[in-house]
Amino acid sequence: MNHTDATNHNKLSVNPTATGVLFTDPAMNEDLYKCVHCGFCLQACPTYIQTGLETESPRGRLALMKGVNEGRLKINDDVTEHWDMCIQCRACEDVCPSGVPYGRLIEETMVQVAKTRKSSVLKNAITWLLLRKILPDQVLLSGLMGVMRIYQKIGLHRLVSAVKMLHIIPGNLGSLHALMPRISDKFFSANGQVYHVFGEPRATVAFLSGCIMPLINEAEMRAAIRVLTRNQVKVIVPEGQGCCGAIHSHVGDLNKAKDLARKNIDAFLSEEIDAVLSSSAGCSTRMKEYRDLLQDDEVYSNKAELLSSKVKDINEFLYELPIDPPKGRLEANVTYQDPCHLAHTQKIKDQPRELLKLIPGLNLIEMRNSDRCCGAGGTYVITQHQMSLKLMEDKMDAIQDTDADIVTTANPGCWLQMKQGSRKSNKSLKVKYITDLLDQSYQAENETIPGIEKVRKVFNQSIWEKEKLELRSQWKNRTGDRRKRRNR
Amino acid sequence: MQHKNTDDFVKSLSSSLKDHLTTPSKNDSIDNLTPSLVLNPRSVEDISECLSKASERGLKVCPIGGGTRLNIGNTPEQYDIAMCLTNLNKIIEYKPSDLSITVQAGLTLGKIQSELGRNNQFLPISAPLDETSTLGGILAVGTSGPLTWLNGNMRDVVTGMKTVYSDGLISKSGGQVMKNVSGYEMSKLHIGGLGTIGVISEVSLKVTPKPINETTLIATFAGQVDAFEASMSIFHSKINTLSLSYINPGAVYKLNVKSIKAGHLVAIRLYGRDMSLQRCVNEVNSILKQYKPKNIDKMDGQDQMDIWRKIDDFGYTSDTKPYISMRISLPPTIVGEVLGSLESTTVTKGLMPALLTQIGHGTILFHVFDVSKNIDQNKFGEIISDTRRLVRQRRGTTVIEEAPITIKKELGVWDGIDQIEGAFRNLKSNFDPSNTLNIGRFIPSKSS
Amino acid sequence: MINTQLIKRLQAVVGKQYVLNKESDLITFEYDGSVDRSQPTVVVLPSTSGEVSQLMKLASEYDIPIVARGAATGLSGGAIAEQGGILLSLTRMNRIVEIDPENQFAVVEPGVINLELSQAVSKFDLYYAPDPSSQQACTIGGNIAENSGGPHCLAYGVTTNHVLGIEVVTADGEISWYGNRTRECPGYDLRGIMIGSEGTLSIVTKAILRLIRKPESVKTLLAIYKDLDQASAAVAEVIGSGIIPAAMEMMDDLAIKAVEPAVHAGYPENAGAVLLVEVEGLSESVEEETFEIEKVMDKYEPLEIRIAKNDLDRAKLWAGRKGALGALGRLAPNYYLIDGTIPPSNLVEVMSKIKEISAEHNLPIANVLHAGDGNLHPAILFDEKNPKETQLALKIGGDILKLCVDKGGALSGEHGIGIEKRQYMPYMFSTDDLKSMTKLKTVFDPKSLLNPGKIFPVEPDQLEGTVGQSSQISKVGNNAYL
Repeated sequence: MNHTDATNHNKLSVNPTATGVLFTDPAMNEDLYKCVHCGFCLQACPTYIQTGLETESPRGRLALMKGVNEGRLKINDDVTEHWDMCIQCRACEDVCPSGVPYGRLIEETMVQVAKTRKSSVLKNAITWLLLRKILPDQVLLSGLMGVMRIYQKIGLHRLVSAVKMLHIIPGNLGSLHALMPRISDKFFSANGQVYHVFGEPRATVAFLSGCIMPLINEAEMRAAIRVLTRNQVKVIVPEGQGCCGAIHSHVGDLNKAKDLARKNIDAFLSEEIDAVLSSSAGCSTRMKEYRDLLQDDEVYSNKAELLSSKVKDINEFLYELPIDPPKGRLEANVTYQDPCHLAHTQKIKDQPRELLKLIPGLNLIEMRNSDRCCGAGGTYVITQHQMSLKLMEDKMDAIQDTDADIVTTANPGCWLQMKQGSRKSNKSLKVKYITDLLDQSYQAENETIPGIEKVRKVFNQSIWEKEKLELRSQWKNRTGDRRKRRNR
Repeated sequence: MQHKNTDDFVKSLSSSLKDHLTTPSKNDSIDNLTPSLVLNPRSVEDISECLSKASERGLKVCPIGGGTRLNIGNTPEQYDIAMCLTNLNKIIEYKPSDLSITVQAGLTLGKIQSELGRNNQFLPISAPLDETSTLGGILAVGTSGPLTWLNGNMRDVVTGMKTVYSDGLISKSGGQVMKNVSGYEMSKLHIGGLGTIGVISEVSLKVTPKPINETTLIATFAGQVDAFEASMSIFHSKINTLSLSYINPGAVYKLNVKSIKAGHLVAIRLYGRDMSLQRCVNEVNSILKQYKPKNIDKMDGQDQMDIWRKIDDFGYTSDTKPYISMRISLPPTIVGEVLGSLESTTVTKGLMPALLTQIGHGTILFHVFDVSKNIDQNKFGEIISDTRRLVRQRRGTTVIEEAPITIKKELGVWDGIDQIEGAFRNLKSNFDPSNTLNIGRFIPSKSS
Repeated sequence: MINTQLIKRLQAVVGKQYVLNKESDLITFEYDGSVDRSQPTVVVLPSTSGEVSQLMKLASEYDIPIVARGAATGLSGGAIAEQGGILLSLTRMNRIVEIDPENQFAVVEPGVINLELSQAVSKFDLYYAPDPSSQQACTIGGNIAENSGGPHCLAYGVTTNHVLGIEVVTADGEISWYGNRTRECPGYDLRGIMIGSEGTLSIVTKAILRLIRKPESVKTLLAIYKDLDQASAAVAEVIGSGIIPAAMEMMDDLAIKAVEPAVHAGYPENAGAVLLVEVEGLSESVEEETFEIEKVMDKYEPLEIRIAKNDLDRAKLWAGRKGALGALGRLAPNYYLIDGTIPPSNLVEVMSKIKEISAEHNLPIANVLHAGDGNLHPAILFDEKNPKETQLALKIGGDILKLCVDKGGALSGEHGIGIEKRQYMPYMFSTDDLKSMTKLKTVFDPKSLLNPGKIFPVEPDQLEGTVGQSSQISKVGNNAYL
């Protein structure tokens, strides 16, 4: 073999400011070439750590983007498999000295990939149904989940697993079945209900209900709201809100993501509020980025800017408030898993920990690599099931090594993933949101200081009653609407 | 034939070399081999001329510094010319604020230290007889004395080197700066290379500020195990030492210092400013006391310099010259068990062992004294073989530094270089194709 | 194209999935942290010394180059397969084989990450001292190849001072140990020869590294001066006063101007130089030395002296220094980072010469430097879109390197020569100097298969078709490498 074969590749003419094949937007182009391939991102990337392959690293994926952008590579499966392997945890952005906005670049790349991708008709149909129809429509989603709940309740899912019916379900969908979360007994819904406080509120906030979370985390969301009201924060759950659109942009469906953003902007800005809160780190990240998503939208760019400026993760908000330190003791060893979308994209690392430290009796033990992705990553659990499993196993090992009784987090994806993990390898481990523990501690106060708390309890109950009434009336309207629609 | 070559060689020399020929003396002999000529180069160019002209004529050259440790290594296969470098004794450049000094290789360590001392600096290395030992010679031997900085090595102080190869090529590598990754570090071939690859002519060294204060603690223990464990505890503590040595009773006897009582000795050289030195002394004292020493002496000033001088020189002064001596390198924790068995096997053979150990370094200097003067020669061979076996098992190395020529020839001086002999041979044949320099000191040349 | 038979044989050694030669794979292995690029013919990821040995034998049989690569964070093009051939990615060889806390060493494979080793031995109160700024990502193998330094090597020395022994695969495919578990090893120091040889003499497959006890106490001082001369003089005097701080770092006015809006370190507007000194050791000696250093710093009329009392404060003082290069992007789109070393006593003179050069060519140069050991990192600011400026930046870079050599220094303190600086080697070394070095190369690699073309100057016609001068530009952003 002779050496000159390889050296022919060396003649490269790169003009970083020109419009490329992949990125037609000059600003995007410039961002791409901010990468000086220093390699600092390698050890932050969960897939690189698992594989040791440059192709599965942020630097490698950026190199592939450059390759396509410069016309040296065509978008085909050889290239896209590496982009698909990216969880988009954005841990790399945290350590990048050059400030490469990797998250935005991979997102835009996936948009381009989506345009060229040839998938099976079935897969396309399912994706379309799921992303375009089901997720955005909370009513439809609740209905579907209601059926699933019955399916789980009567134990049919165990039967399906037992008879290995899954073999007839194609590839990833089979694992989806295994991943099916336990559905809440009740669903949370956004009906414009208001959770009032006694006296002058310290703040008034709007609360994002979301798409999946209200179906699997109904109790947890109520706990979060209790923590807010306990701290004199008035909570509104505006009607007309919906899915934040994170999953859509994740898989390259930017148009739908924009639609959803506009819908949420309308819903949230119709209320007089100090902040918009979400219990899901993924959603708060997405909403903080509405300003980027809609920057070219003539009508919505200013509104998006305004909304994004008001969005806060619930933990960030509670820390800044600051909350009354809860006094009820919770004797437990607890560890905290940083959701990627809190630690890396919102740079919120200390606040959740500080909140946990407020709880008397709680012993916070740090796990190693607490900010390394647990492998959940939206649809990643389904699309890259094997890698997701590996990352989850690593995470469970790290948790196990801390001897913690409880692992806390702040994002439904992580919560679900760790629930799955604990079911597999550590049955005694409890998975909780931070607000769950705060709520528990506040609840325990009532037992220890009866005098004062009695009043509060009564007051809380009165709110509950009020809420129930509101709910009931709204539900009636809603079902009425639905009937009307059906009749049409 | 050889005479003819030598005469021809002398005739060919330029006057700067020819005018400074001296007659060989006993001081120039290596393992009783005496050269036919002694050259005294005064410049790098002189060295180059001498080497190229000698190699052309098939004459064999051994570079010589102070001549204190010439017998280290195998006996040269042929020795025609001694090249004495003591005239290359200038300081080429010294700027204290650069922490760097560049000197010619023939300068003695003692001179360098006193020059540095004037600026409150020093080289954290030591060698026997440093008033006679030249830097070039010390580096060619390459082994560390008791004095080290953070348990470093001889090679850690060299930042650049100029060397002359047997074809006369003068070549430098490295530089005067502490951090340098520009080209290969050729000096590494010559440190410990016994002058078999090239002749060291100039060296740049990294110097260290002299500690503000120094104190030496000397603790005497009744047993070896206590003494060794006490010294390991100090090694594992937060205290950094300039020297940390264990010295056995045989060596204490030979050292012959009045103020030091017989027993197993641990000598610790501590440094620092006022408060920190006090802390070191207190902490080391309390560690020592846990192992119940017979007594602890504190030495300052000239007293401590004298005692360390004696320890450095051990084995090379007339009253401490051993019959055989070996240098053993081991991982530090393993030294203890090896010490014990060296001591007992030597004593059972009716000989006296003197053991000086650099604790953190894992180096044992093992000297054997023939007290009765009428011991069976075979016993020395046995001791060497036993020691090698023992050390090899524990992944260490043994080098015979001093032994009767018959023993050196029979057993070979080096142990543990067989695995890389090929690389050694390759280096030698490429850098000294004419086989001019110090032939056969590491491995036999092919011709023999 | 590459011989398919060779591919099959490579696959037989390491397994099919660890031989990569698709276009999309190769494109991600064509670079390192420098700006040079070149695609290997095939990438192979071995997992044992035995596999490396077999691969080496194959390379030799087929007469193709073999280039070792760790994390590819290097800044001189050392891990680039400039002449194609086999790129040996050692990331799978990332096991810590043994830790011996009593004897204070660890046996590791080359793919172990520098910082991970320190973290792994931390529970024994030990750490691995060399701390290149890329230590969170760079591998031990790469550190050994480049003899890496870091801010703290002022007191503790560079990589070569911390490697006891290495297992190497030589050009003929043999596996040998150079050096061992002991501090000393008789004969030629082959271990020392391999360290810093930039992968051109052998491939390191294991290393025995010295570990150092963690200091009991650490204190960081920061002094802000009106001009660079005062700071430089303070550096010289601290060293002259008999103290070797663990680290001694400096930034000039331009670097301060860039970093202040990024990090908000609170440097005053008229700050001309920031001097950062770190002292480590016994708490008593740290107290005493801090006192002495403060006294010296005070003599040169600082605008301000700050002393960190805890880890948080320390991190704040370091933030400005660590963020400096990354922040240069605020001043210009590109920079070319130089890595020359000078004897510290020439600091004032060289720094003012650099300012002159900058003024003469009207290109700003920001300086961040390891002042204690004279390792300069001038960053020439320019805009790549302007070809004239690019040319000029490259020329100035060369001029500064030559200036360093003229003042008794060296071309590279810690980044290595690689592709980037090989053309300047004749400026520092004579033909004879280089002759002995190339002789060493032929001893260990007679067919010149190991990382060919690196370190030594290449004839212009040999450069045809490979990376040119533009290879020397470093783009904005990497705050590392210091």
